[in-house]
Amino acid sequence: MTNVKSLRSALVPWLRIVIALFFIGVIFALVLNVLQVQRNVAAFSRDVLSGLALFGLSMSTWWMLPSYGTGAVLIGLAFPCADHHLGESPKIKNEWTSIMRCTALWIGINHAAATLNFSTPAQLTFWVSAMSLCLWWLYDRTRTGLFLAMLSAVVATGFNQILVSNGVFSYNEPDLLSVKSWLPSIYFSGGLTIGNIGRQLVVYEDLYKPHQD
Amino acid sequence: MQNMPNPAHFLLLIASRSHGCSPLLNRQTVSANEQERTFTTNLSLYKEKEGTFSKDGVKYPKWFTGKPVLYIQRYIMEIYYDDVKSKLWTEEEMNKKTLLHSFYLVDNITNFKSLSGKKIGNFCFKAKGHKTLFSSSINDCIIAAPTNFWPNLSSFNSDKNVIERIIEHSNADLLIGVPVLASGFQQQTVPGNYVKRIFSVSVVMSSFENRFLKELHEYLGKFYYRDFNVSHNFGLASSTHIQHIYYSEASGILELLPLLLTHVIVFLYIAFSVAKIEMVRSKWALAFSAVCTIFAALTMPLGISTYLQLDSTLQNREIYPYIIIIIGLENILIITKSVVSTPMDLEVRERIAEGLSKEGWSIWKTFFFEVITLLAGYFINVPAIQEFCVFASVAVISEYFLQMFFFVPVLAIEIRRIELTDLNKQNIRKEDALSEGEVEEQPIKSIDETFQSKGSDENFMSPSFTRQAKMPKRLAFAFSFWARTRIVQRVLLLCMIGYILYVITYIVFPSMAPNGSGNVQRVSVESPHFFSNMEVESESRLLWKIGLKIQRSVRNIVATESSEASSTTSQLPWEAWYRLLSLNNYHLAGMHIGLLSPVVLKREYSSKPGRMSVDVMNLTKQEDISVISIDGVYLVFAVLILFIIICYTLTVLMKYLLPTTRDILLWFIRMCQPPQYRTTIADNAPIILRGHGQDIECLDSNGSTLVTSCLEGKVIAWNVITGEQYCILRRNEILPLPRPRMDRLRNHYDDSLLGMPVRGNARMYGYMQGEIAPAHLGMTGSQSTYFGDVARSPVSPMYKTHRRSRSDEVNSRTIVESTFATSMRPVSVAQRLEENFGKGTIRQRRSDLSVLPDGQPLSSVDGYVSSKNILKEHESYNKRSLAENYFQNLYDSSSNAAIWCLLCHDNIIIIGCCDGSVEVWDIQSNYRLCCYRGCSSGVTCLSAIKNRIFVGRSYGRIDILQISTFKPYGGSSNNYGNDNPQLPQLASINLLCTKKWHHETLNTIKIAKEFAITASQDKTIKVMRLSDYGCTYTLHGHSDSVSCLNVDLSAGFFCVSGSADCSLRVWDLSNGSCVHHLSEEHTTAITVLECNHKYAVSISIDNVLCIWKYRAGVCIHRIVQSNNIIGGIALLSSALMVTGSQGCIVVWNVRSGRVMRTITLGEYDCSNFVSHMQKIDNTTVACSYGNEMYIISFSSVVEKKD
Repeated sequence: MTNVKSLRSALVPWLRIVIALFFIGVIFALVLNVLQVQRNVAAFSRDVLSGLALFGLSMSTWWMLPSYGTGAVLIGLAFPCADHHLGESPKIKNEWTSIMRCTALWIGINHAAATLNFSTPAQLTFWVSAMSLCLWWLYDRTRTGLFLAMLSAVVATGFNQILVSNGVFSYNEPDLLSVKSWLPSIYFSGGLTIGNIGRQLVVYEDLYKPHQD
Repeated sequence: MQNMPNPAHFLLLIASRSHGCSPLLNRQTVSANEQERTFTTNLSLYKEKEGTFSKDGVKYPKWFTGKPVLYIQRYIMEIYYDDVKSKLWTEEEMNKKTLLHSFYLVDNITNFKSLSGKKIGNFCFKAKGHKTLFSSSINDCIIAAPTNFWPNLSSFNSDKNVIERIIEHSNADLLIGVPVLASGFQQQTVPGNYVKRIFSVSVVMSSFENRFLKELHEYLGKFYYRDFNVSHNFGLASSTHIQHIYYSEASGILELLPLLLTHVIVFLYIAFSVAKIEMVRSKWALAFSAVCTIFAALTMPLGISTYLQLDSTLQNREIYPYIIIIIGLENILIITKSVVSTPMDLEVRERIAEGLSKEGWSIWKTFFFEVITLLAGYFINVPAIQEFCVFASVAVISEYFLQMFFFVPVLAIEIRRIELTDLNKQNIRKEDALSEGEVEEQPIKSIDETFQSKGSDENFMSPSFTRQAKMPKRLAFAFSFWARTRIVQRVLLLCMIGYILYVITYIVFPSMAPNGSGNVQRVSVESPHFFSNMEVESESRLLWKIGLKIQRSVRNIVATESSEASSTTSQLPWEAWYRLLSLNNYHLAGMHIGLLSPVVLKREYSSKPGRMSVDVMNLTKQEDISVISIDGVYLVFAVLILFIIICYTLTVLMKYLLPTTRDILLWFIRMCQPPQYRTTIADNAPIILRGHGQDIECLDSNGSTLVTSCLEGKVIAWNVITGEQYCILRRNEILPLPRPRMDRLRNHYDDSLLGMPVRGNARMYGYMQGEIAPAHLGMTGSQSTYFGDVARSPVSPMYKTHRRSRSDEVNSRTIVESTFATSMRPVSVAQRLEENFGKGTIRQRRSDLSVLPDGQPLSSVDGYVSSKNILKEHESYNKRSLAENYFQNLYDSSSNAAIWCLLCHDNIIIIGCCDGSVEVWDIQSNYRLCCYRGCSSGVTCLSAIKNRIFVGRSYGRIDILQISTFKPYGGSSNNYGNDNPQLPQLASINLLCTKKWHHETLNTIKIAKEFAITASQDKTIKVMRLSDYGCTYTLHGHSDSVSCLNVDLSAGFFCVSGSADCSLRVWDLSNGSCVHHLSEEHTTAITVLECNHKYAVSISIDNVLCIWKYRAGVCIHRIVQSNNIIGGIALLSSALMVTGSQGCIVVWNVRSGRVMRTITLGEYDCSNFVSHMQKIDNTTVACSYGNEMYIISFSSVVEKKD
């Protein structure tokens, strides 16, 4: 009995974190989609039947949302785990306020990338990647963070590439191998944001307590 | 209480949120970006047959379908009145004449019939449904014109107050067709000047009939054009460009989602930030000022851009959340937190300065990086980002400005207000009243210049004192420049006065004040007519390069056609057309319209034809320069200059950034404070006290009396003011006692005690003691802080048995039992009492236990006997009558033991001897009141409160003694003061408590509040409650003997301790924690430590003197004295310090760390050292100089500072 209880008490906070991260991922995915639809960047096959169409998703692509959520969970847990195992603690003292700032700036970058008129795609790509690096410098500054965010960017872009090549959706004006060239940067900063949220959630739930001075 | 949500937090939260939400609430249904919204095509692309624009070769926006739903043609009417006419006609008349033209114009347009027989009614856009205000009465065309203010011409003619009708109308700008400000109707005109009025008539057409319009324009040109003397045909050329305006669809939640999420996140951000305010005991004013800071930081950029006449093309609701995020609330919180956490006793300005200096660097760094990042973002060639960056950097800079010059002063006022209510603070101030204000440094003068051992002043000063903590030169300059001359303050004051005068003149004489905006706007309309198109274009390009995407300048680029450019200020905002159509029940959402180049018509009322155009041209040329300079470039320059200034200060003062911020603040706060007073020190001849034969060893003072003891054991009490001797304690003599009763008692004692086998022992001990005496004398000759070494030395056991130095010389008749170990006596006396008086039961066991085989008294075998037992012994000692004790003491005249410490308490002198005895003397009567010999271990420190004496001993024991006084021939009295000073006052001493308190020698005892704080060689500090003598705290931390201790009660309960481990520690005794560990500056053991409520001064063995701001834990000055050994310190006030040196004493300014004066001591011999220093009061200090004493008073003169 005690084993079950202790197991439960050990698992419940993790479960909470997983659920929170999942929903954060879903919300982020919605925002990203809305912004892309607004700009007519991504053209989904428009079988407009469900309410999801509002968010630029069709019935046939409903599984996008949970997959984004799962991705968010993975990234959000990977950050604190990597910190724990590599023993590198964030140099910037993270608090909820800075997480909020980070998130807001990430949405800002998305917003700007979606709505602003850049003269060339290269300029847009340059700007977005510069902003992403700024975000990392301002709110993370850890090598783990940099590495994991890059990893997530690469994996997510690859995933996207597969989807596009399978014809699930396509971009209107692809400039890099049939996708948008700024996509990796957006995934980079998104991964960073989610990772920092994950970190903060873990700290908030007081896991890994013995390692915190 | 702490967890209770402060209403102020709610205010902050709600206010900032409501502001943040307001753009959302004011959201209009139309939304699109400027770039997205407008697009200009050449008319050559228009295909007349299909009625669409060809899409070849041009990159179109996505919304562009090729066919606008409707076209709008504007006719801008400009009417001029020259100087003669404007003098002739009243304003009302001119307005009426102007508006009359609108009727004519509308009439001309609607009634025009082209060659093909078409009328405007064939093409115009008809209003649906009921007739609206805008539809022309003839054929339901939507024509926005000033005529619509009135139902018909006759009602216009009968209208007496034309202007009011226009201004009061809610859609005045739509009907006039130009912004009301630009139309000139509202302007005050100066008779004799040119007067211009503008209005426009807009015709909405459903199709674009180029040929018809050409004919119409030519027709109109006949009426309005011939008045002008300008040859080229501007304005009436058929339009070559068409501007498309797109009104995007409001897409509901879809578009709002990111915005909503951003606002949610901003809300969360503010909520989390505000949650952190908890530790701040903020008041309403604080919360209010925080709100004001944020609010103002958001609105200031808007104000600045409006002032510079730059219309933001960005939508505020979209960028405000991000700007809030970029500005952040952190700084306000950080500043408040760090200021509030500074020690409360400091002056407000010091607190603010300290709090800011703690966080100054990080705030600066963040600010710097933010501005750098934003300016870097400016170089991305995207107009929206550039504008956002400029906007945000202005916001950040203005927020910084507001924090420093608005929020911090409010905080200062707030803290000041809290402090004023604090009574505690006032007490300190009273005490320190003299030292308030800055102590001015004076040229160094010595009192005895003739006897100065060293040559000149500089020679005397500089080589001996090397100051290490110097104020940087630049900083010193800036500080002295700012602080002394107050130049910035004065300049600001002048500016403020100038501004107020300007505002007053503007209000009182509105016509006289330069009406900047009106003029500029009015004239800039003209500009393109007289400047060539090329110029306009190049100017526009310049703006483009600078990248400020101002709506107007963008339009200039687009409008290469002169007539288009001329309408820049008279153009209506893009929303106007949406409004116009929606008033006519037609919604443009999701559609785009075509805006044809407006046609400018002119009319002049001039007495001399042909003259006016030249004048207008001149006027235009003059004003136009100002137009260019004011435009766009200005803001960039302003931002750049501001940033350059900031960068300059940053680079120049990079190293000294911390004090810089503080100094600015200091200066600022000083501005708000009442005039300062400075204190100068007057010369005063020292009082020389001579009387001791050997070097002075101990001294103490109670403010009016100074007590000194020398090596030979002589104790003298002096009057501080006059310098005369009160008395010399006759420690070696037998006291002349009142005869009759004393004799009887004495005989009684002798009889009863002589039979006891005491004498032999006494002799033996006396002999042993004689051997040890020289060593002991040597010991006491050294610093009193080395007691521990003495106690640890191998001679110590024997040393403890030392009773007095010259036992043989003492008259044997008067010796009773004094030579025996002290604890013997109570027992023997008790036995004797039992024998003689037959009362009380004395336990036999005690006598067995009381003396150990080797003759050591039981009580002195430290740690092995519980204090209870000893207390019992002492109780029995106390049981004897007071009188008995008293006479016992008088007879017990073995008062020649070396003095280890001295205490002057009220009117009595308490002497702690090396043999463990504590003598209490009365100053006035020069009698020894009593003597306590309960313990044989040397007294290392003494402290007294009321009638309790705390005795610290060399082996770590602490005794608490109580003195009870009574008059010898009368009732007992609790006061030491005696009515008849001739009569010796009687006193008895009894032990209240004794404790094995430390493991090793006690170095010092301080009594403060309800506690006694002891420092010991066992590396600990202990805090004892005075109520029950229990231990409250044991403060561990020092790694070596704690040599000195000082308590500060000014705010909180702090103590500073110095140790042989080369470090100082600041303790908060309210919770027993170590607040600061100051170990950087000293490299050797600290021997002397003094502190007042602000500074602590410590000296180590290697003669390094450090001045600390111990509350903040910073060393402000480190002074190495190469030659001179510092003897003692006295901190006179918060600013004055006196140290002893060889042959002189030195007066320091504590704040600056500079020597203010050196006073030479000794008339003939300057080789002695000033070894002891005693502060008598805030202006007077006593110091020992060989066998002489000097009392020097620094009487200060307070005068108002300039």
